[in-house]
Amino acid sequence: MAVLAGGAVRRPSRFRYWRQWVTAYLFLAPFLFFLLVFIAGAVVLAVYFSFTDYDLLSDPVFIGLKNYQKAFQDESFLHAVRNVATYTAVVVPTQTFVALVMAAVLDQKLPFRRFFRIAWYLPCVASSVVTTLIFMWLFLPDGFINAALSFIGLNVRINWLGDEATALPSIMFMNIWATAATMMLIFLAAIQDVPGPIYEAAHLDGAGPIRQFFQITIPLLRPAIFLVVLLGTIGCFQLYDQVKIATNGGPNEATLTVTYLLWKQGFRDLNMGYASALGVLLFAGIFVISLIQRRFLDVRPDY
Amino acid sequence: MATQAAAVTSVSVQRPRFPFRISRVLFLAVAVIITLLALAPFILTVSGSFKTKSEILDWPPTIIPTVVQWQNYVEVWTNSHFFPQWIANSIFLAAFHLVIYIATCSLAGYAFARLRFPGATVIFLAILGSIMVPGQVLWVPKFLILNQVGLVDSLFGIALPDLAEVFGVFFMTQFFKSLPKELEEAASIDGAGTFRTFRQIILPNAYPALAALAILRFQASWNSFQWPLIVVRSPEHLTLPLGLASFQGLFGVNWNWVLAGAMFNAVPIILLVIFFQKYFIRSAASSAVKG
Repeated sequence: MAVLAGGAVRRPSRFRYWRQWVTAYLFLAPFLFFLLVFIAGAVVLAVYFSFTDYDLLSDPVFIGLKNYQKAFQDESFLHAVRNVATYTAVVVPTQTFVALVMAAVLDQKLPFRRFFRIAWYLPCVASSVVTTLIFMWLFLPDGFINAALSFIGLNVRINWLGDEATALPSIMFMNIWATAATMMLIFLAAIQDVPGPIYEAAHLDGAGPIRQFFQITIPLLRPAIFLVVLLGTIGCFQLYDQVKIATNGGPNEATLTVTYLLWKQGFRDLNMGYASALGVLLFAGIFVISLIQRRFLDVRPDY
Repeated sequence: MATQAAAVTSVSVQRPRFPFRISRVLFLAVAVIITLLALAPFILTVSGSFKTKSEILDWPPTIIPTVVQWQNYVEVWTNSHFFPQWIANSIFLAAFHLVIYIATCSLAGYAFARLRFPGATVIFLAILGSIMVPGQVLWVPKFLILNQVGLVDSLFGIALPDLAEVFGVFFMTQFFKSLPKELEEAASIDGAGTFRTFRQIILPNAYPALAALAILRFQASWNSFQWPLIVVRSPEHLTLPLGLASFQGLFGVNWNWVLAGAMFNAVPIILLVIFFQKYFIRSAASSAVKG
């Protein structure tokens, strides 16, 4: 409805109404085109191909649920799921805790806090390629990680990324290093949203700063903790860049992830149908874990 | 007396501040340790990028290079004759997105924020739903679609699918909703059409939001790795991150070149963060929208 200068409201004519929605769709058209092709259409195709056997050279053959059956009998897939589960179970709690500590420290109004904030954030903005290359170099047997360990008395020459026992933990370490500060910013924003009078009241009731942190700040941060845990879990399920660049899933599948297996099946071995099924399973996994986390971590704040 | 004074100040500042000097020093110590952990890899990279090929393999590794080898930066540029091409490709990709992505997002964002049309809710919900889909699920179908239209192994094959990224549309929708409605009302009294109002009245008022979106998009395009890796094969079509990742296979142990090359990717982004901190920090804190 058009509001006229005098404040009178006029019912738009049929023509004006029609013209407005054509205009709206013209505004939307460029974005909508890409959305329909590369997301909506792609999702439909992904599901369709997951029911087929397709090697890119001959036409896709419909094989029903065989790709899914194959996945659950595929040693590599099961191995990848185990790796991702281990990885998530270590990385998510650790990075959430580290991020919370970082946010609590930054909230103390320390001198140089602007410098600290930007310095801590730099690992998050460098590209995954750069941070992975840097850590591949630091993790070399003759690299700085071993040098730092021998500096504190542990004289070791571990081939961190080349050894089955240490490859996955090394990738865990580099990812926590690269993502903790993003999570910290979410916590910092949430901490600064906690109403000041709550602390004032707690102080008058005799609660010291440590008790205030654990009994007021942490409970009020529940929505932020949920968000950080959820984003962290989704990120862990999708672990790919570091594995692709640094280890290629090795040594001996020690760092194989679902996404790396998807790439290998689809784009190295041209099993496009099987790769699509792995993608659908990845999506299902992320969807289910989000629902479970939503149940266990109450999202509403208490005040 | 002293305790009384401390109590009074901490009430008036309202936040739980640890009043004792010792705990302040402790917090500062933790802050310094975190800073060292965050910056050490970068500092060692800068130092490593100036080392000679033999010094970079020394045990124990040196922190400051004994001979400063500026040539690494020249050699990385000339010895792999595709390096300048990779940088050009990355600049093209970022520039393409800065123009086209920002344009499509602001047009769509304006429609969602201000225009009324049938299907608006359905489309908006579909966009929300698409956030749930992990990018890797779409690798195969997106590749097959581009294969059909002959865009595999080309820069447009990298660039086009990213235009469906929904973050920018949310971002612009939120921003346009925050603008006062009087802006358009004045224009419509003057008889301006919707597009003219958008271009002459709305966009000039949206510069801060457009700048923020541009900076975030630049970072995403400049650093992007997964999708470009799927689409391009030929060395002359690689972007800088892909080129760097292939470097390490090409040159094996020439870590001084790899590190010097990495600086070309990292330095522009680091400068951007230092100069435009607030955009990055605000967007990270509001990534609730994305998740």
